Amino acid sequence: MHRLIYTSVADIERDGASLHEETRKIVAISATKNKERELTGVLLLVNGTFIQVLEGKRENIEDAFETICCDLRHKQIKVIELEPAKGRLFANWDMAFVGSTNEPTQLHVNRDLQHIAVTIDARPAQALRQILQLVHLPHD
Amino acid sequence: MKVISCVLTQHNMWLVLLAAIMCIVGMLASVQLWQRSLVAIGRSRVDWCFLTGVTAGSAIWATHFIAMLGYEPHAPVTFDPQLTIISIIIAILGTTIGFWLSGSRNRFIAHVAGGATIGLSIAAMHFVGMFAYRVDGFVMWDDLYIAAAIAMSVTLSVATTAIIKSEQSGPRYRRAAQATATFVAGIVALHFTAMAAFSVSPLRGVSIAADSEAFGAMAMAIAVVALLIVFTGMSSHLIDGRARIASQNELLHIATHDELTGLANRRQFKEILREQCEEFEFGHTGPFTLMMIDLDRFKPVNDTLGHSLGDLVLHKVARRLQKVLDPNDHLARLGGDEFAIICAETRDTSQVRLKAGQIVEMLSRPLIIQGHLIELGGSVGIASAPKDGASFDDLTQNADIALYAAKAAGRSTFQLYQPSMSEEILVRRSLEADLRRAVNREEFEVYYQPQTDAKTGAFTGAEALVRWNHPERGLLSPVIFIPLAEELGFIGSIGSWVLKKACMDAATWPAHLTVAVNLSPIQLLDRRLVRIVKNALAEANLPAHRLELEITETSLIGNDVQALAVLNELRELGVSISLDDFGTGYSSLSYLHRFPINRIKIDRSFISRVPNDPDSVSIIRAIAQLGTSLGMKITAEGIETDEQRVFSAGGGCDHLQGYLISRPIPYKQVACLFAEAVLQKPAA
Repeated sequence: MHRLIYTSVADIERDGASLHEETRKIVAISATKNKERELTGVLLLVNGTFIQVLEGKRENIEDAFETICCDLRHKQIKVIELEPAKGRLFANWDMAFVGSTNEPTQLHVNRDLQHIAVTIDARPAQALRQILQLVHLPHD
Repeated sequence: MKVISCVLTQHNMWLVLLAAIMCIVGMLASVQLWQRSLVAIGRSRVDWCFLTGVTAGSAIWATHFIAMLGYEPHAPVTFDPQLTIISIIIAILGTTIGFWLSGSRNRFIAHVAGGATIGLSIAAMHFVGMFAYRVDGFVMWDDLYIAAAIAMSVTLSVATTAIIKSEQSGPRYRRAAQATATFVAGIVALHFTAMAAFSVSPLRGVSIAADSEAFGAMAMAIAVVALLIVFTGMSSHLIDGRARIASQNELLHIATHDELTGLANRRQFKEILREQCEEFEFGHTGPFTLMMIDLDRFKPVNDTLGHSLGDLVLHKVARRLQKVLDPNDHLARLGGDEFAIICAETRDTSQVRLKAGQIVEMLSRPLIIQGHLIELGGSVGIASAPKDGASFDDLTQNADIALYAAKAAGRSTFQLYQPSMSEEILVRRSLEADLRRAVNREEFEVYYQPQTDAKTGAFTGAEALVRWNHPERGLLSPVIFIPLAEELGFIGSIGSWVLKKACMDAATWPAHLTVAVNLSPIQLLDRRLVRIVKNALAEANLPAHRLELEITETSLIGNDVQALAVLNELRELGVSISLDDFGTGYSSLSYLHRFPINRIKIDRSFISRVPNDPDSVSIIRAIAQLGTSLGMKITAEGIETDEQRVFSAGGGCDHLQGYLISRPIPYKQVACLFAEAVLQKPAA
């Protein structure tokens, strides 16, 4: 069991709302593929930056990451962490998705996402805990 | 006339038709097999000849036998079984020998001996078959027709052989059809001419005609068996043909593709590019582009993680590159970590730039293989036809030049070819060649710039500075050649030479003087560094505390864990570490805290602005204070005026270095300088 965290920047030239839509489509497709590969995880979209956590068998993570790297819709892919993991943190999600939006009710989510995006590089463990809280929160 | 009337009046036309079909089908197949036997070599040639003989012999014999059954002599007929069997053996073995002879390189043997053997075998088969034909009646033979039959059989068989062996161009099937026609003609002519030579007068009182029904059934049975043999022979030929095409295709694939990535190889690439150039020349295609791609940092991956992992990297890289391609693009692996793309249709520069940018982006993405995180990069050089040349040589050369420029521009980037690049590269190449030679011949010299105590003005040591004594261009500053040496991988050998020389020289100086030697970031990453330093000290018999190694902040960034380990080991030897050019880079205070640093050298750019620039004044004071409080010594570099000296000494700097004190000077001069100073000291 391994866990991969990476970040990338969306290269889809659109306004925020349609990027959000496009991302939802990508998430739907990747959820199906993750199910086949027995991967679980989460995708965050913070102001055009993707943060993705993938957990599962190392070979399957490598396969999924290769597919991700062959996609030209995002750029500046950066691996934050690839570590052995004791168990799944996102066992219930083939691919959970949380994205920042302009909706007033989502303000706290936006604030958390911003914080995660800023800290993920330097303190991945702390950011991961915050992602976990965010996913377990009831939202949209 | 007798022949034609023999066919028309004395034969059952249905059986003659069956015999004709038998003959045509049999000979069609035999000619195919015959042609195959001619290209077979060694043992398999015998096998192919035999298979051809079995097919042709069976078909010829069946033709003959069915036609015989169709012959209506108006008298009772029986067959001698032994002679009948001998006749079929003659047909098979005789033609086998004939086919084998026809494969001879000697044209006479092949055409005449081969053809005649076939023709005579057919004739022999026929007449032996006729002896097996027992008819109750008076049999008479006409010698003239017999001779004519044998002559026609031999002539037409020789003609068939000549057609099969002819090397004239033209479709293969046409020659096969001609040969089949001639072959069939030979058999038919022999049979019916020989039959015309044969006549039977029925015995009186015996008037039972041949049992035509039983003969018809027999004819059908023989035809079926013979056709089975023919089809078996033909299908072995077809199976063989398919297997040959498959293995030829496989060989072709192996010859034109790279085994590791499945991409086109260098050979295939050359062919495609040459074709593309020709197509362009004839106006069949528009502008096209050649991209040369080199991976950056692949070699260390291969060296540290092993070749099998390196192979996996190349495989994945190839897959990623394919994602960027348009349908008309050709991607090839030229070898090692070199790839090339031929973009068959190029609309404009912006399209080329977009694709090249995508390639660079793709190659800069991290790879995860077997749990290893691998960060590569790629440089791309681009030449577009016809702008940058339209011939194979021009395009490849210019794309290579652009690739070279991309690497020189810092890698992980692309460059479009520009004519000015060629000249720059010529200059650089010649400098490279010179540097290579210089390393071998040690065309370097070490100069020394003395350092003094800020308070007393006494010499405390000197910094060793390498100079390249270029045979034509004179003394060259390290600014010119060190970056090149780093890139070419010479920095290690130049660095250790300088270190050794500096230690030897310093050992001759008065014992209180130190020598400072610069370390390049690459040297700091070299695991052998500690041993090299140890050896240099031991060889020169120089106490470790008299050696100072100067590093820059940039060597610490990104590899601080390894750098820290190396620096700690050096410190354990007793060597001092100083941080050079301080204030220009990140000037991270955490470095000062974390690394075992004995000395800070304040960058000359601050010194040059004092005492007039208040910012520089406060920066120098702050660094000096901070360093002193952390227990470090402070050196001010680039002292050129007396004012700067006075300020630096007052501002908290411990040591001074600069043109005011001395320029960098050769060993002999610095040795004299130090010796004199020691002599003068007691006097002063």
